[in-house]
Amino acid sequence: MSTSMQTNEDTEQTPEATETALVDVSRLSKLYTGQQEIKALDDVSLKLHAGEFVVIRGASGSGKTTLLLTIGTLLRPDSGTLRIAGKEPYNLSNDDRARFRADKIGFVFQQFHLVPYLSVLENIQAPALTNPHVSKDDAIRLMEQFGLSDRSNHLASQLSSGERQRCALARAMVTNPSLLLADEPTGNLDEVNAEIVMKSLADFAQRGGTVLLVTHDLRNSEFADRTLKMSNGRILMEETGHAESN
Amino acid sequence: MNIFHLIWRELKFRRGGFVLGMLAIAVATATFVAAEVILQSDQILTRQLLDEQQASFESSIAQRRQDVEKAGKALEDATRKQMLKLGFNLLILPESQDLDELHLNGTLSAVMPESYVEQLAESSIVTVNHLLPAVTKRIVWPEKDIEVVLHGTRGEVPIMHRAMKKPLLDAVAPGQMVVGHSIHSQLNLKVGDVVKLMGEEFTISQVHPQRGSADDVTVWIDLETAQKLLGMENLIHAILALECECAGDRLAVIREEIAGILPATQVIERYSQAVTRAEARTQAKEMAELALEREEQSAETLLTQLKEARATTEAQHESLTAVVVPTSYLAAASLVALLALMNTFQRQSEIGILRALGATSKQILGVFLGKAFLLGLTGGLLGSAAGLFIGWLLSDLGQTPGTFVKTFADDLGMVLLSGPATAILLAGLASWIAALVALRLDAAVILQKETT
Repeated sequence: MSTSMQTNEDTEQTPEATETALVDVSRLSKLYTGQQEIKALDDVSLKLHAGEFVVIRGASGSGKTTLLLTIGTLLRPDSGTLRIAGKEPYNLSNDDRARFRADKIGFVFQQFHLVPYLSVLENIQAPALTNPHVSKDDAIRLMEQFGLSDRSNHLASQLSSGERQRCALARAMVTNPSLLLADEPTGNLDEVNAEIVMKSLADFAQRGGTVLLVTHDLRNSEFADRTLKMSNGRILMEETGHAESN
Repeated sequence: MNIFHLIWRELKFRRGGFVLGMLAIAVATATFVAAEVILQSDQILTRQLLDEQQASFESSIAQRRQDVEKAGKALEDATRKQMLKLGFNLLILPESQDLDELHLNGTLSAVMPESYVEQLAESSIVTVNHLLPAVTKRIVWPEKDIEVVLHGTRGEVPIMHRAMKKPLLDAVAPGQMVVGHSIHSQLNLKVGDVVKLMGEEFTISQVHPQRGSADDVTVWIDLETAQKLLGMENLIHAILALECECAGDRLAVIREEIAGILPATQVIERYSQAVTRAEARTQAKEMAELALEREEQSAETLLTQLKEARATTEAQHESLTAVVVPTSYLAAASLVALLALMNTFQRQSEIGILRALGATSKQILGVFLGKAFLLGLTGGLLGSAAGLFIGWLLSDLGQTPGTFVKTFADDLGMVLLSGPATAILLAGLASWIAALVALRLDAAVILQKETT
């Protein structure tokens, strides 16, 4: 796994590093306007390499979810550039960007976001709606892998939190994405299930996938190759390897 | 996994909302289809009633017309026969003849050439028959010392362009005399007696029975002899004729025709019993025709009234449906729109994750409009079936569903097609706003809302 280090203060990259980075975030900014202006991203730069497991820690409102959604091509930044696998998704049309997302990116959220009326197997298969490469066999394999076979026909409401998150994780991985984005995936889980999820993400990274996990939970850093700290829309520092709680 | 699978599973999961929306659309469609059925039934019924009534009137009128025609022919025939029996009833006189003289004294003084009768006979006249030239003068029979009307006639002059007809009156041969009943009585004359008149000898050839007219005091002799006795060679007082059996203002027609041939003449009608009878019969025929005309008018009036009554009924139904149908559609559309909006908000998380999974705008629209299509289709089919049934119950068309369907066969396809089609359109339009809202939902906002 790569262990490159980068902060807002040090955004210069060697040409080699740029070539190998799966995700290249350069000086992203995002300002939420409204009653109060919030600078959710403030000149953020970051590189994620294939097979890398990166955790971004920060308090609520620090901008970590905004960064995750921006990298997830769901939230257009006000400025800066994003490259994933050599492409700038925000230069694509909406539909092309959606297809790019379907092909390259998987999501896991704290709230699971399972489709309530679909069974476990159908939820895992749901990406087939947008990605023609998803097969039922893959879905069944992942369902077995995440220990959900006996819950195959159950609806989301009939599952425990741990099962729901495992189902969501299986759904995120069924397209075999290059990049897996996880937003507080263990926030609603007990320790046992949290560990299962984190191990699964680590396994994914070990198989060559890139994981970006945002959390405020220090324990998640144990599985990370890199842990970045975020505050007020800026990446303040990077902790290489397993972070320690403070 | 595809969009239809997703739609189907969602329908099953949230069947309450779907059923409610479907029922709303079914009610609106049923109202529409029932209204269509009733309105079209109205038109069919109107056509049927009018056709039946028209046929009935036509048959009745045709029968009456036939009767009148038959009666008319019979009357004309009877009139013709009567006229033939009752003799000449037209007098063609010189234009200068004072008619008061004729009416007061029964005599004529003005004369015209005898050649007029040939002129008339050789013309193409059609309004008169049986031309009889005559001289007539009231004289004192010197040998008998009584006043008589001397009438000279030579017999009928045939009209050249017609077939010969049997004469009404036989000519009096030269040297013979026909006498009226009063003269016969006064002078005790009988057939075969020889008498002298103004020095000329005549044999009585015929004695007329009493007629109660000037004929009773008339003696008839040969025209030429009469002209000689009266000093009127080649002149005549009048041409007697029998009018045709013309309808309408006969005399005007006759006068017009004769004036075209003999301009210096006048035509008068001798008011006879025959004329009275003919007029009475003509009047009877006219009355019958008038009755027929009235019946036709009455039939027309009844048909018009029926049409108006049906038009009123149809207008009432149209007015009612013009309010009920749009109202039910509006209510259904509002409910479906509300349900669709609620559904959209209920499915925000799902929309967010579908977006995250890479769903395009078309696919998101497909999810919502596909559901609207199913909603419209099922509601439309259900509503169409219900509408047909209600329409059948409320319309007066067909006693059984079978006869109703048979009567309605031509329009059934259109109704069964337009009901679901309109329902699908309604559901699509009502869900459109919700679909657009779903499309505009920002996945980032949805996903962020629940995680940050």
